[in-house]
Amino acid sequence: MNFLALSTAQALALAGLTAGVVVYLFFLKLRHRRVVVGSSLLWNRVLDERLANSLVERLRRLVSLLLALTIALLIALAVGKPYVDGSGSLERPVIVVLDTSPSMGARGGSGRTRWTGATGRALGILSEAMGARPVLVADTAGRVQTLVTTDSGAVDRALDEMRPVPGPQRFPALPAGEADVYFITDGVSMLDVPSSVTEISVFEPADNVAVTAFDVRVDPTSASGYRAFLGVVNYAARAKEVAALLSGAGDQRQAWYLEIGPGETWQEDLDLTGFRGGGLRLRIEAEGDGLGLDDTAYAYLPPRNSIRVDLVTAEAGGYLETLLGLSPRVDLTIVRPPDFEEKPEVDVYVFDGFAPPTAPRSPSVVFGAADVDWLPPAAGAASGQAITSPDPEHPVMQHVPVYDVAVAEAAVFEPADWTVVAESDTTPLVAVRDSPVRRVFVGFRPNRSDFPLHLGFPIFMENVLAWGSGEGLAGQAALGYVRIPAEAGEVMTLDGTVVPSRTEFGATVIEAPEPGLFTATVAGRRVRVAANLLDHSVSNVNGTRMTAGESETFPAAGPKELWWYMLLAASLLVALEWWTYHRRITL
Amino acid sequence: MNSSPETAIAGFDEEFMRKLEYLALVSKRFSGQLKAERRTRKLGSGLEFADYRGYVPGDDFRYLDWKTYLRLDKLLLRLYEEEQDLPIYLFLDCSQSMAYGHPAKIDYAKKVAAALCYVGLANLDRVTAITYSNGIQNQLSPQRGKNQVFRVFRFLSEAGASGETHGEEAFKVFSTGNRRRGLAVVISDFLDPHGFAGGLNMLRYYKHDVFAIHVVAREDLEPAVRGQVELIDSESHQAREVTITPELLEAYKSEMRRFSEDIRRHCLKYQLGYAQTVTSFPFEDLILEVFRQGRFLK
Repeated sequence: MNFLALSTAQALALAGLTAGVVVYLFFLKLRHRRVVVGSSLLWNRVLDERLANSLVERLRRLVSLLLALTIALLIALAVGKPYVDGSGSLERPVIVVLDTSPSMGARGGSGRTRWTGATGRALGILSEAMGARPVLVADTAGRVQTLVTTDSGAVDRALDEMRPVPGPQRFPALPAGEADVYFITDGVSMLDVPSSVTEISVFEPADNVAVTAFDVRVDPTSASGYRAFLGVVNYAARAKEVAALLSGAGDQRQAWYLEIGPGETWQEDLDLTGFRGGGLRLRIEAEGDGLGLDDTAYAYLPPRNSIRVDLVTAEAGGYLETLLGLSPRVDLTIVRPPDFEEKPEVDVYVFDGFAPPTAPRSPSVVFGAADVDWLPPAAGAASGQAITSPDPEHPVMQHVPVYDVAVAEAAVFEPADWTVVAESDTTPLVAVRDSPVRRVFVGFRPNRSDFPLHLGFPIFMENVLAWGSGEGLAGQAALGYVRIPAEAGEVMTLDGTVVPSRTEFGATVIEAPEPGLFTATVAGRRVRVAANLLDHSVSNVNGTRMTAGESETFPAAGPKELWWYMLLAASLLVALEWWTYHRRITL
Repeated sequence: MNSSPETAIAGFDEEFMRKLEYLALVSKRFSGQLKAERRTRKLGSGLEFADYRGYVPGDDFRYLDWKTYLRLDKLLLRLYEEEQDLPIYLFLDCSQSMAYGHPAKIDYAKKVAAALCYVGLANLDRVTAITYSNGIQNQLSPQRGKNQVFRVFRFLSEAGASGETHGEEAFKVFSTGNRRRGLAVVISDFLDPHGFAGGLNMLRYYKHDVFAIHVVAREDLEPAVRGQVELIDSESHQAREVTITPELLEAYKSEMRRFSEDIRRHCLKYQLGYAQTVTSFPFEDLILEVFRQGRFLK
């Protein structure tokens, strides 16, 4: 039992003092009235004959003393606001895990964010536990976790460092051994929470209108070559008036004034002909919006420069020649393999079933095996392949549907220092290389598969040419830690602010706590990544497994104050003592 | 009897003396109706034939029944009751416990003793008054005749309650110095830590005719104590803490009744006179009760 208003030493001192006073008063009370009788002969006979009565007399005295002591101690100790720990152990550490998913930043009807409520609850639990039990605090972002400690300073610092952050969330791995674990959450993030953990809800309904889709994709049929796909969802319980503004470089603007019903989605497929190349920002505004993180999204529109392409192929009128010839942005030249020679003005070479012995200085795309040094070494051929594992994050494979593509014959190659962006179950099929010059190697020729007959083929080719020419679509990333596929590059935001970065495994890693368009510059080339929230599960801030009422209840395993029960027990004992005293049962 | 300055001794006032005179008159009437109980059992040279016994050498030839010798050819001696003037010993318990009660038991006992002395003296008996507790406190030499009554009163008035009760020891001391048998009237509360029977048996052992007058105070019968008390024994000064509950009080009363009954049964068993009185009871009624039992009067 602990005390909220007293230390253990103070409680012991109070109990000792109370017991001493009660015992003194008890024996003071028992100084009997002196009565002189002629002879105690008969009294002694009666009392001796009633020896059992004498034992009862002693027992009554003891019971009376214990009763008085109990009543006094109950009242005295109740002043110290005692409580018992629900776990029943003072040795077990108290572990508090705070949900740091972005939805915790949502502001409810009370005007405060869920995070504010969560830190308040955490401080409440920790302040009660500190001094008596070791504690540990951790977040679900994996960024902050203290040791099991009794250092209140370390705990305070950890709480100060915590905040809702975008990015993957998971329930932290906790130290082995028994502990009382409290998880303070709004219940929006679907985390794998152990059943032994006591969940404390800080959920409060909030209105939120969110940008859930903002993509710029290749559209070979469009004059601009790109289209934008916009999506806005109203997660509030009532209809919302929303102003959406798409802005590009310079004064390019397009605005929408919408009324979106509860749970409804507004979508727009926008031809970007009216926009020049550069960064695009979609921003929405709605009254009483509870979460700002999903009100903005970024994308990148490549500039509409003409790309000069030399197609080196032995096949006349093939798929590649037809496709590239139709592209308005491509200035195509057909070259037969024997006639191939490098030209400085070519932006991208496309080799079909042929590769020159020396690597061209310009970016190049190679279809089919070619036994040259600058390509991945061939190790045979495989038939009946299917693209089963594309990498949709890489600019080359963005928005390219390939799952039903069948490859009749493909080269088997070792990727070596190339990056595989698409493969079958048995062999890599598409590999890329970023330096010293961007190159794409496709392990099969277009006429040895049905890929050219699929919708994804023109998108793939646009992606390849754009990436190869250095003006492709921006990569897409979620908020949080963003990996940019460019080594040791300087990373800047759209407004030119340099972002701290570090290099990890051939890529540059930055932290994007808010949406943004980040550009990494490496050796004059630019790699762009648009980091946006665009996550239904996060923006749907009312999609919780908790209820608002739970936030008012303290966990069952938490401390339980006893003073009320002690005063009640003391009152009952006083009544009992009164009753027994007047019936000479107690003294 | 006229009042005199000596009647004021220790509460033996004129009213008291009138009561004694009345009792003395009443005793005369009882004497004519009752069989004498205080005739000696000693065989000797009296006039009234009592019994025969066989002759043994040394017997006085004058008491041989020669007629019987002729008929039976046996020498038998005729025995006669010897009439003697048996003394009255009035034992007054003056232990501290006798000071208990309102009125105090000893005051009541003194009146009873005075009355019996008066009647005895009036009947020309030899009356000896003795006060005792755990031994003989004081003793008035044998008196005879009514004119000695004021000496008895003075003796009684000077008696005070003190000391513990030990009747057996007191009677033993007395009897070893007074071999002559007599009527031993014991006026006491009999609250003897060593047992009331020991004292009475000691008197019986020395062939005294015993009359026990049991004096009880109202407070002995109905103690006015309740709750947490420390009972102090007035004789031993021993203390005992006790909670007087109704149940305990009832047990005490039951024990008191059993105690009185034990005394009465003891006296009945050994043919001792017995009378019990409460201090609130008129003492003259007690005296009449004593008269009715017939032991005290000739």
